[in-house]
Amino acid sequence: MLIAETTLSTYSNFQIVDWIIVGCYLSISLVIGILVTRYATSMTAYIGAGRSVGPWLGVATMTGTEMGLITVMYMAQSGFNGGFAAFHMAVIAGAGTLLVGLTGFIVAPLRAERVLTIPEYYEKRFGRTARVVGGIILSGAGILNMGLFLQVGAKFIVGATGLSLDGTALMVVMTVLLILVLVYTVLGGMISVILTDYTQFVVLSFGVVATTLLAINEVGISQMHDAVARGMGEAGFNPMVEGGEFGISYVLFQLFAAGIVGCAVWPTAVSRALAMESPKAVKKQYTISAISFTIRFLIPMFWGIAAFTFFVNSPSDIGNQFIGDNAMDDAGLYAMPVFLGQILPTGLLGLIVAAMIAAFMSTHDSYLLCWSSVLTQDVVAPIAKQVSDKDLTNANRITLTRVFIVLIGAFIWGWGLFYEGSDSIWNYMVITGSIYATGAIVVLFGGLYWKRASSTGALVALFAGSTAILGLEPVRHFLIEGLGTLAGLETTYWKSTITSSMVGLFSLGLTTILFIAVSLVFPDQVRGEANSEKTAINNEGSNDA
Amino acid sequence: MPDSPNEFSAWFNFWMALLYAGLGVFAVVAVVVSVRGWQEIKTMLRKLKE
Repeated sequence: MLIAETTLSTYSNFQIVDWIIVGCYLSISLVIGILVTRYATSMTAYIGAGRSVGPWLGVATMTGTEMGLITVMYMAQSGFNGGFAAFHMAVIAGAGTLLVGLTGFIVAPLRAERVLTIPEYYEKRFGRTARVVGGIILSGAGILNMGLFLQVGAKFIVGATGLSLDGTALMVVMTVLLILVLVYTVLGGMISVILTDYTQFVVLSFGVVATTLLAINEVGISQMHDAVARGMGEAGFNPMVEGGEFGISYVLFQLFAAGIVGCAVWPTAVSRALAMESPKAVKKQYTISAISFTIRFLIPMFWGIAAFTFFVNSPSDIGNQFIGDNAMDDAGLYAMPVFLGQILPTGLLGLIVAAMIAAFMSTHDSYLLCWSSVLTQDVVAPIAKQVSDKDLTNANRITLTRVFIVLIGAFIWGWGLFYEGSDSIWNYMVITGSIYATGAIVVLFGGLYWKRASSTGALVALFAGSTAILGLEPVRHFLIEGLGTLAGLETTYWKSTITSSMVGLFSLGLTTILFIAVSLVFPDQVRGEANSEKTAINNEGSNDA
Repeated sequence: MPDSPNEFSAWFNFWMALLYAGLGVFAVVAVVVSVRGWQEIKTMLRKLKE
């Protein structure tokens, strides 16, 4: 529908001084990125910061990466659509991270293996084929997963600054952001990523506390309760209620997605663990990070609820753009930034937007670095070794990683402009992430804790985990339509009954069963059979540590 | 749509207590991480220089 853009931009408090704050902040970040280039002399230094990160800096950098703008946006959308019931995901995420920190589940033994990437571990345990297959699935799912980052991040900036909500401003902001992040990531690698993650952590930590208090002051706690109760009923408070935004299968799937995968298996979080100075430091890092893993969901959700309340109680010419049947497309995404643009004072708004852009950059650089290094280290390098019997040099690897960073950047720019899906952003991310994570968690767990896990079982599990893509709404509906028509079923009923969470749980169960069964039926002939080929590869990334 | 919003006050109080507790702990952790993290940055850069 047509949007009363002038109405929204008139109300935004974003002024020239805010643009100056944003400009200064980003310039300083870029200078840091350029200055630390001289430290990125080896692959270990470039993608692992020389494995010299201490636990406190580890907490800051992991939070900086995982509390990105995309997280803020999709969690605000969850709060806006699901009310206080969305908080269950924050509880699960915090409890999962704490559990991983206390036990070292997966991450500590993985760090002890002294690998740089997860597929590198696949090779150590299951052989070269598992590494290449795992690398392809991981990077493919990961790149697809970050496909909407650029678009969603740009929507925040457009909404908060009061820019025009039509497509032109969005495209310009996307392009500028992408250029910024590409220059910055290509130059400094993990070292510059860690330094700006730290800066972002400091600014954003205090910014989110201040913004939350201001939101409470502006909207009012009891008004939030009343707005959610009237608008969403019990489903706005109790996540187990069916028919609302969540439900039992959704909560169960979040135990897997937000509880374990988000911290123990997701490569960008694990890459921080692998850059730590010791397995003990990894456990400490995760234990402390449990707080920030809770907060990174909780606060944006709260902002989403505050935005919902704000627009419910706004004059109808504004409120109707976000609430009700005539709301604009992506109202749940735009609501929070527009709300912040209207309640935060000039100056603080500039600082928050700058910190959010930094959050956006730190997430992008980490993800770009992660997927491109997986493509280089785990796909191209082993294949090149196989074909030419020569290792890629350190210089070649860094160059190749930089080329992949630019190519992935170009992909997400195009995907962000042209993809049109109706899943919520969080659901889109969970499903695309599960394409990799479902196989990965089973294979990692089996490889690290089960002696009889075999290389054949691992390969089958990696492929079986890819069935998680069936949960994506367009794919799921296409299948139900096709199969339902063949079987003469009522497809409309099944489309609303079979949710993405159910498909995800099915995929996880299938992968686990296949991994166990195939490992038992097709064991490795000799323990370490798979490892016989691993030694053939001289992995420079590991050896220069 | 419920007539009386107060019927969900138990859930609401639980979530708000969680929010306030999380916010308070996070503020303290943020200060500690900021200070200790800065010290570790200096150590990391020194190591990389070597």
